[in-house]
Amino acid sequence: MTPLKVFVVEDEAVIALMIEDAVEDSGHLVAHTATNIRDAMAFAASGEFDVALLDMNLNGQKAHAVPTTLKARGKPFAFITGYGEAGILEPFADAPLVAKPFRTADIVAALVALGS
Amino acid sequence: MSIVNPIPVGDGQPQDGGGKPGASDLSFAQFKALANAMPNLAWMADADGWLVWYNQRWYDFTGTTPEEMAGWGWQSVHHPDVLPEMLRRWTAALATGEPFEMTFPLRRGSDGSFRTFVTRAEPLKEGGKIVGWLGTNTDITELERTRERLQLVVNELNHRVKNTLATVQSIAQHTFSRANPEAYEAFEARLLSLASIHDALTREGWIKASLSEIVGRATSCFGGDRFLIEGPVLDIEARMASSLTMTLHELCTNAVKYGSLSVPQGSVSITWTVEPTGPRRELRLLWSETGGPAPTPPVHNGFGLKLIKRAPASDSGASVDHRFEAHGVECEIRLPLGEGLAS
Repeated sequence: MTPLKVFVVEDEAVIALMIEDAVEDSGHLVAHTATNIRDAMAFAASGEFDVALLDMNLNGQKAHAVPTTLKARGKPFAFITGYGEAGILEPFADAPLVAKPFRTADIVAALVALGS
Repeated sequence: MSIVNPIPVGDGQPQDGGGKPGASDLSFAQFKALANAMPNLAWMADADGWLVWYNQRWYDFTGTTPEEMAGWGWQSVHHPDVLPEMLRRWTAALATGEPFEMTFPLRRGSDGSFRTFVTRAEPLKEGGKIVGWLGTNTDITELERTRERLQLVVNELNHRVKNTLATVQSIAQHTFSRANPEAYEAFEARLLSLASIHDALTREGWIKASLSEIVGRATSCFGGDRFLIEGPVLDIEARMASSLTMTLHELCTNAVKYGSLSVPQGSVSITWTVEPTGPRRELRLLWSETGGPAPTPPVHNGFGLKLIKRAPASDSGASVDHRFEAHGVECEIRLPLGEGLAS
């Protein structure tokens, strides 16, 4: 498939590294990694990317506004979460869910789902 | 109208418990003192549901008068959204004579806010005929709030545990995945199997997990159609659930590497029963491989085999019998069951 430009939202640097590796190892590109809500909101609103991978909890703050903005721009996204099924927000229940901890293959599968 | 005729309780006639001194001649004043001393709201109705008496706490909480509350006047302190369903169920109880129980909000008079009550009503019978109803409303608002807060904390804890596991995973990946990819893969698989049981435990408030879910999760990434899984519905305590998950994971890993799952025609059956052992009960879980190469015991007991034998045993008096049979590996786990959890 054509390489996707992936927007990553994850506040734990070490986990972000692993997500970025998974993205790049599967032949895609990291457009930007946001580690706080302000940065995440700014890039979600005007950044250049194809799909997004979102951690829903940034320094204890729920990043609810980010998926809303992404949806408004028509950008597909998946959640990467430690909350399991309980972490999905009702309006975004259709978004793919990658549970932490994850295999590289889980990220790749989510990207395939988002890119198709 | 006003309530003029509260149901007299203890009119000098022998009643239930009448053999005890004093029980048969409880005066209405004493009854009222009792009913007003309890923390619940309480009331009495006649056989067709006409409210004839409330305790003082009802009036204190709702800020109403006996005149306003008589008969069916209590509807004015209910939430309009819930009232129709409440009426439907209350009239059904009146019609059938079945005890009534429902949780609904009632309006507090002092500030107009609604608090959550669990309400129970029992029919009062004389000679098999219903002559009235006795009801209580218990404020569970704080209980509900505490439960919600607790759920929030459990969710948060799970999130942090998962994030920590993901961090450890990332560190391990960057430290040794290139130098020793095979070892990293084994590590990652173990870590993920441990993490997967957390979801099941979180859902049950870290108290228990169902055995079929434990087995299902442990085997799912090894090809579910290679396993025959059979046993009664059973809940396993949280601690045991984690160690059982690790044991099953190692059994699966060994089966894929050396045992029945190393060849296409091999399979594994995982079956369990619950047997009485004296006053208690015991879980007997049998892992049995067939269709693979004849197993040979390893020269060294690796970490996996140690984990299989020791993880459940160290936790809760379980015993593990791991054998190399002609048809393949067999592993029998016996686990004493706690009194409260087995279902």
